[in-house]
Parts: sequence; C-alpha cells; structure tokens
Amino acid sequence: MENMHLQPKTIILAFLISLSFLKTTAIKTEAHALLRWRSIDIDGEGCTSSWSLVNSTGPCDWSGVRCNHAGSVISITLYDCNIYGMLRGLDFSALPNIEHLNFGSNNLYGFIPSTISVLAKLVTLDLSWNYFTGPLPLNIGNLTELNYLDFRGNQLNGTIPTQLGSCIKLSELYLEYNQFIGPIPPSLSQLKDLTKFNASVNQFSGSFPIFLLQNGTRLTYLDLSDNQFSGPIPLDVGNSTELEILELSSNSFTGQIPSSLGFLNKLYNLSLNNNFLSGEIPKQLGNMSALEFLNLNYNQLEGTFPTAISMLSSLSFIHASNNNLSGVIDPYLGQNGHLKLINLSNNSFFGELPTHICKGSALEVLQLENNQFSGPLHTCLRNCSSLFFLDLSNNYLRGSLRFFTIKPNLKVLRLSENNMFGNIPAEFGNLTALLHLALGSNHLTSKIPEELTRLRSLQVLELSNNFLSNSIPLHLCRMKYLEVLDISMNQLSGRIPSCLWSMDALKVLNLDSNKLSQRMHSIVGHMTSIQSLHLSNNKLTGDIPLFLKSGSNLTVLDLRNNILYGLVPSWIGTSLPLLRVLCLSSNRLSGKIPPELSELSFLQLIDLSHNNFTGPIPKSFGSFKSMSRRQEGNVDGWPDINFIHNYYEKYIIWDFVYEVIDWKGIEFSFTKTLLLMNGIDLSCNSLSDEIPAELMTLKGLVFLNLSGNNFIGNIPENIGNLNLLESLDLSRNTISGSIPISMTNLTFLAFLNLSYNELSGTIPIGSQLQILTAQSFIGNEGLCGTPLSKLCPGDAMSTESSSKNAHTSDKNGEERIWLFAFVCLGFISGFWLVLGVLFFNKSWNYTYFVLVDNMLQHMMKLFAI
Amino acid sequence: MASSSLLISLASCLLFLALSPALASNSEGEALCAFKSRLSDPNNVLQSWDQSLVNPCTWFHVTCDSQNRVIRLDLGNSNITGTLGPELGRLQHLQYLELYRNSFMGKIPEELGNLKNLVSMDLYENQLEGEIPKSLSKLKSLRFMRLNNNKLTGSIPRELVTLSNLKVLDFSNNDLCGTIPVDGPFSTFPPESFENNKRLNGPELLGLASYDFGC
Repeated sequence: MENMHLQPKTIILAFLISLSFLKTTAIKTEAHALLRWRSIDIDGEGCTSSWSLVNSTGPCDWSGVRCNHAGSVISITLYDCNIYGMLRGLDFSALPNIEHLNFGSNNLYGFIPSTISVLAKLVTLDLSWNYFTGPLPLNIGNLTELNYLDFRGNQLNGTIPTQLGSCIKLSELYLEYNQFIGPIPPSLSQLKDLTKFNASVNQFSGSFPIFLLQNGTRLTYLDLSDNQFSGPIPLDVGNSTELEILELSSNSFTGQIPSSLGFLNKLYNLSLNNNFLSGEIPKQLGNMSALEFLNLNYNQLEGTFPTAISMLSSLSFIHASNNNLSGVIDPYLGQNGHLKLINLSNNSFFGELPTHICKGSALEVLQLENNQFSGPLHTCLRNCSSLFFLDLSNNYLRGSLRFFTIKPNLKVLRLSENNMFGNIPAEFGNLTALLHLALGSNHLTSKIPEELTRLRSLQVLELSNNFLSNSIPLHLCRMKYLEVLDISMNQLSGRIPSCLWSMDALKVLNLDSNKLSQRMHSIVGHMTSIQSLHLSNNKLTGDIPLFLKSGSNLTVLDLRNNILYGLVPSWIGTSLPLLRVLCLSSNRLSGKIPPELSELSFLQLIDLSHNNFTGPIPKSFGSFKSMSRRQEGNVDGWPDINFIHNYYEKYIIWDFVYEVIDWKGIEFSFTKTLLLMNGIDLSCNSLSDEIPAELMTLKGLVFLNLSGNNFIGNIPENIGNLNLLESLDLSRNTISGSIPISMTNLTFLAFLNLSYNELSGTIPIGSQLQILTAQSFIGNEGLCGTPLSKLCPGDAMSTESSSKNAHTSDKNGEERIWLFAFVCLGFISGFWLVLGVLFFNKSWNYTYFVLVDNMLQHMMKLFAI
Repeated sequence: MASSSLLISLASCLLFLALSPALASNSEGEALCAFKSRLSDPNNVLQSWDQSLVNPCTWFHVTCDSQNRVIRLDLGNSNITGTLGPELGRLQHLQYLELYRNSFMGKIPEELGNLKNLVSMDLYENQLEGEIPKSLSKLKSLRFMRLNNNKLTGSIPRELVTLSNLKVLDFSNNDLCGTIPVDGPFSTFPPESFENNKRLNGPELLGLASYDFGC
C-alpha cells in the first residue's frame, strides 16, 4: 500500500518539479524578453536601469514590474520614468500573463506593434504622452479583456479600426491629442461598458457619433472637442441620462441645440462653444439641474437667454459670448447665489443690466462688453465684493461715475465706449487693486484727478476720447508699474511732464490729439522704456528734440501734424535701432532726407509726407532690410503687455499700438495688420531727381507713395519686382518715359495713380492694369491706349476688329463661291432643310460657322444694294 | 495643422464679426470670413484676414471706399485652392473681383449675379466647372468678364447679350458648347475670346439655330 501510495506521490512530485522548472523557464523567458527589449530598443534606460539578472532571480523585484503568486509578470508600470526608445522589439508573446501595461509619459516613438495583440489578459494599456506614430494596429480587437485604453498625447494617425469595437469590456478610452482622422467607427456602439470617451484634439470628421449614446449607454464623459465633426447634434443625445460631461466645442456642428439635452439631469459641464449652432437656446436647458458650467461662446445663436437657465441652482459659469443673442437679460440671473462668471459679451443684449447679478457675492468675472445695454450701472453692481474683472465697454450705459460703488478686489475695470459723463471721481483712487482702468470714449469732463495716482498697481490707464482738460497731472509719474498711458483725444493742454519720459515700466505713451504746446527742443529727459510714442496732432514746435535719442526701445514714433521744423537728425537712423514705424508727416521739416535712416533695419513704415523736404531720395533707401522681404507677422519686437489674467489676452497691445496710413488713397488706422505692413510715404514734399532704382529691391513693399514731388526721369524698369504692392502713387511729378511692361506683374495692385506726369507711350495691357480706370493715367499728354480714350498711333483699330478683318479677308475668295451656292440652296430648298441636315453633322467647326455667318451678312448687303 | 489654423481663423473671424456689430462692413467682413473658410492658402496670402479688427478695410487684398465698404478683392496669382461660395454675393459694393490664376474649383455661384456694382470679374486660369450662371446677366456695370482657362461647360447664356457695358470678354479654353451669341456686346468680341472650346460651334445663325445646338 505504501508503495502504492508512494508512486502517485513521486509522480506528483516529479510533475511539480517539472512544472516549477517550466515555470522558472517561463520566468526566465519573461526576464530575457524585457532585457532584450531594453538592449535593442531603448536608448535611454530611465528607471529600467536597475533591471538586471545579476543580483536577482527574476523580474519580479525590478522597478515597475509586478508578478503574480506564480512569479509571472502581470504588470509593468514605467510611467514618467524617462525612457527613450521604441516598443518594436518587445516580445509580447513571452509575457502572456500581463494585465497592466503602463508606459505613459515617456519618450517612446515608432509604431505601436501589432504583436501587442497577443496579450490576451491585458486589462490596462496606457501609452499616453509619448511620441508614437502611425495607425493603431488593426488586431487591437483581440484584446478582449481590455478595460482601460489610453493613447492620448501621441502623434498617432489614420482611422480608428473597426476592430476596436471588439474590446467589449472597455470602460475608458482616451484618444485625445493625436492626429486621427475619419469618423468614429459605429462598431464602438458595442462597447456597452464604456463610461469615459475622449476623442478631442484630433481631426475626426463625419457626423455626431450618436451610436455611442444609444441603447442603455453608461457613458458619463464624452469629449469630442477640437475636431471636424459636422452636421447636427442629434436629439437622441438626450437619452444618455448618465452623462456628466459633454464637450463638443470647436467642431463644425450646425443646426439647433437639441432641447432633449434638458433630460440630462446629471450633466454638470456642457461645452458647445466654437461651432455653427444656430436658432434659439432651448429653454429646456433649464431642466439640467446639475449644470454648473455652460459654454456656448462663438456660435450663431439668436433669441434671448432663457430665464429657466438663469434660475438653475448650481450654475456657476455662463459663457454665451459672440453669438447673435438679444433681448433683455432676465433679472433673476444671479439669483442662485453661485454665479462666478458671466460672459455674454459680443451679442445684442439690451435693456438694463440684471440687478441680482452679485447675489451671494460669488461673482468674480462679468463680461458684458459689446452689447446694447443701457441705463445706469450702479444698481446691478451692489454686493459685487468678489468681482475682480468687469468689462462693460461698448454699450449705451449712461450716468455719472459718482455712482460707481467701489469694489476693493477689482483688478480690471473697463467702461469705455459708453455714455458716462461728469468727472472722474476722486474715489476711483481707492480702487487700489486695479491693474487696468479703461474709461475711454465717454463724455468725461474736467481734469484727470490727482487721486488716480494712488492706483500704484495700475498697468493700463486708458482715458482717451473724452473731454478731459487742464494739464497732465505730474503725479501720474508715481504709478511705477504703469505700462500703458493713453490719454489721447482729449483737450489736455500745457506741457508734457518731463518725468513721464523716464517712467520705468511705461511702454506705450499716447498723447495724440490734444492741445499740448511746448517747444520740443526744450524737453530734456531720458527715455528709458517707451516703445510706442504718439505725440501726433498737437501744437508742439521746434526741432526734433535730442532727448528722443535716448529712446533705444522705441518701436513706434509718431510726431505727425505738429509744428516741427528744421532738419531730420541723422541720429534717428543710428540711435533708435528698434524703430519699426516712423511718422513725421505734416510738419515743416526741411532739408535733405538723411541717408542714415536706412540703417533702421526693422523699419517697416516711414511716413515723411507733407513736409518741405528737398533733394533726392537717398539711394541707401534700397537697403531697408525689413522692407526687402515679406513680413511674416511675427509679434516679437512689438510692444506687448503681460497681463496676469487670461481673460485679458485680446486687449494685448492692439488697443494701443496703431498707425494711421494713407492706404489706397484713403486714411485708415492700422492695428494688427501693421505686423505685416511695409510701406514708404514721401508724398507732398519738394523731393527731386530720379526715383532711385535701388528702391526696387524692397520686395516687401505693400505701398509706395511718392506723389506731389518734383521727381523726374523714368519709372524704374523693374518696378514689377515689387510684387506685393497693393498701392502705388507716383502722381503729380514730372516723371517721363513709358510705363514699364513689368508693371503687369503687380497682381495685387488695387490702387495705381500715375496721373499728372509726363509719361508717354502705350499703357501696357496686363492682368491688373487693364481693368483700372482712366483716373489712374490722366494728365499725361503722351499716354495712349486703354483705359484712356486716346488711341495709340498705328493702333487705329482695336485689336479685336483688326484680327476679325484678317480672318475675313483670308477666306474672302472661297466665301464668295459658297455665298452663291447658298443663295441658290436657300432659294431652292429653304434654310431649314439645309441647316437641319447640317445640325446633325457634329464635325462642323468654328471656322465653318464664321463662314456661314459672314456669308449671310454678305447676302443681306447684296439684297440691300 | 491646416485644420487647426482653419479653426483658429474661423474663430477669429467670428470674433471679428462679434466685435463689429453695428458697422456697415459687418456683413462684408462676415462674407469674406466665410469665403476664407473655404480656402487653402499655402502662401499665407490671407494672413491679415484673421484679426479682430473693426472692419476688413485694413486687411490685405481687400480695398474699401471711404464709407468702409469693400469695393475690391485682389487675390490673383496667389496659389489659393478652394471653392467660390454664395457669400461672395453679399459683397454688395464690390467692383473688382480678381481671383485669376489660382486653383478655384467647383461652380461659379449664381449669387455672383447679386454684385450689382461689379465692373470686373476675373476668374480666368482656375479649375472652375459647371455652367456660366444666367444670373451674371444682372451685372449691368460689368466691363471685364474673363472666365478663360477653366473647365466650364454648357452653353453661353443668351441673357449675357444684355450686358451693354461689357468691353472685354474671354471664354476661351473651356468646354463650352452650343453657339456664340452675336447680339449686343458679343458683336465686338474677337473669335479668340471663344477658341479652344471643342464643342462650341460658332456664331448663332441669326436666330435660325438653337443656341444650345450640339450641347
């Protein structure tokens, strides 16, 4: 019996031994597979550097590796561990028990190997935030145990394989930040356990993948934003009652917002912004009792903002800007006491501002700019103690600023472009947290109060286009963080406080269109940080002052329309190296234009028009470096302002940096397109000599205005080099010779004025010249050809008639024979019979028909005679 | 990249629209934005069009009159690909539509017939298809109409003979059919204006033949 007992025991033992032997080999295989992968594919070992068989029996104690009780690898987690390399050489078949694979946040690249599909037990696969490229492997559908799949943040492309629908246990699927294309495959409707799906920031297209939300879906999180999905958002979306987050922003969805969304009573985040949604906002959205965050910005929505939504108890963030919404805002908006942000800017809302907006004092951001709100502003802003961003600019708000109750936390206050009147109350000096104060384009009167200078944190002070008078308060200079001071278009008089020049932080100083009078050369000071300086349209007199020489940061210098006289100092070319815009027009400056100006290697715009300059255009002007090529629109080098709040971005510089340009014959104020501009305006001076051929190397020029001078000689032959020119004015000079043929290369030329010169010869016919009107060429005795009515010698007949004549005479003899034949035929058989036959002959060509037509004409004449 | 920049430009166009609610040029800016959204612009010629500017008058290749109304669009020879859309018909004050030598595809929208002030329609050397819309006969101010070197088909609409101001017309190098009108301004156009249209059969026979003969 004992023997009998022993025997099976031995067998079992032997079996176990052999099993464990097998197991050790399996473990060894796993270890070797991992080590081999590291040696073949991995350039930077990162945290795998400790992997070794020297001091360990197997991989189970390696960093990031976990094994089961049997010692087989079930999990590899190398998250954010700095490995560089590929997955190509990893022998997945040697790791059959792997359940969790996490290579997220490394530097892995190359394709995702299709061999990964052998991992039949894989539950988690995380390859996020690497540099994987190529498509997803088709056989990914073999991973039927997969529960969590994360490919976000790679450079994967191609379409999503239908086979992914076979991973029926998937509950979380992350594909965002890749370059996937095509539609979401309908097979994903088989993923009944899917709760979270993010496909955002790809190039997916097609219609809304509604199948994801049908038949008892468990989806709580769906993000399709930043793709190219189009078509309507289907009504059925309302069936997916588990949804908590629905993000569809930045697609091309059209049609209405489905009212069925109202059934989603667990949804707390609804983002539909940046689409083409139209129609009204359905009032049923007011049933979404969990809603906290609503974003409808940038659509084409119209109608009112529904009261029911205003009443939602949890709603904290409302974005509905940049739509066509109108009507009166419901007075209950804000009644819930939770509202933190309201952005209804850029719509057509009217009526008074809502009164309960700050109930509960939660409101931090209120943006209602660019609407048609009217009435006073004081009632709505009671209790707004948390408010730090308030923009009500460009409305019809009316009243005195005296009623503006002080919000101690306010950092941004914009009331510009309204109908505020009265003076700026001294109490504004108590808004000590303010960074940005904009009261421009109102009807404010009296002086700028000294108390404003208590706003020691202020970065932007914009009071332009009011009726502010008196002198500029000296104490403004105390605002040591002030970056923008725009008090243009007021009635400020007196002198410019010299301390302004040396304010440490000041980048933009705009004193344009006031009544400042001062002898410029009496100004002393040192200009430290100013980048954009407008002193234009004042009564400043004297020479261009020497103190400007210290403006080594100057980018824009505009002294237009003052009473400056004397020479343009040559140091402008050497001491202001960053200058991009130089405008000295409409003064009484005289003498020669200093050739040193061409050393301004960033200069894009020079306007010396309406002065008394004499002599030639310096030949050195051909070497303006920045004008020799197309501007790429780089913002570097232009004044920028760093605001702490991102709501603020759109105000950066372009509200304050601008230049007025005589553009195609009309003056426009250029802001952001200045970045792309290159132009020269020397018009209305007494400049003489020939137009230097060197100017034709300035291939980036978009406009050139040399009109109203005494230029002689020819238009440079290679003017066609300037192929970005949109506006060219050489009128009212004594330019002679013919118009260069190369001018027909100027395919963007929209405005050309060559009138009142001594040009002669034929106006070239070409793409853009032909369609211009005679206005462009009149006052040149010797010019002929279209569009002038004067014909050119030897061109008595227009080209078309002469060519037609040639055509006819060639065929004349032949024609006569045919003529008689046809006369006979016509009389005998009648035209219809003949033509009827001929019509079936498809081979009749153009020439033949010309013949026929001419013959008929001849025939008519014959009969007439 | 292309798509994201498209989205950005769309977004900024929308921004632009929203920022200029009360301006005359609002609908024109909107139309130009819609037009831009159809286009692929590898040379970045439309770079200046994506801004939140008060009107399109400081955009490059757009010209306004003193009332900030768009009167010219100059995009000839710009390496642009895309289609012409009905929105172009909303540029009510447009006088010059210069879109020649690009790769515009698709049909000429019949809405171009709404451009009552149009003086010049230069669509030559593109890849436009379909028929010449009859609606173009509403362009009573038109002096230049150059549609040559495209893939236009169908017959020449007889209604065009009413364009009495037409001075220059070029339909050559297309795939037009039927016969050539002889009335109105057509009596002055040279045969070169119609050459290389294989199925175009010559001047009509004084009303004796159907004008779409052979189509």
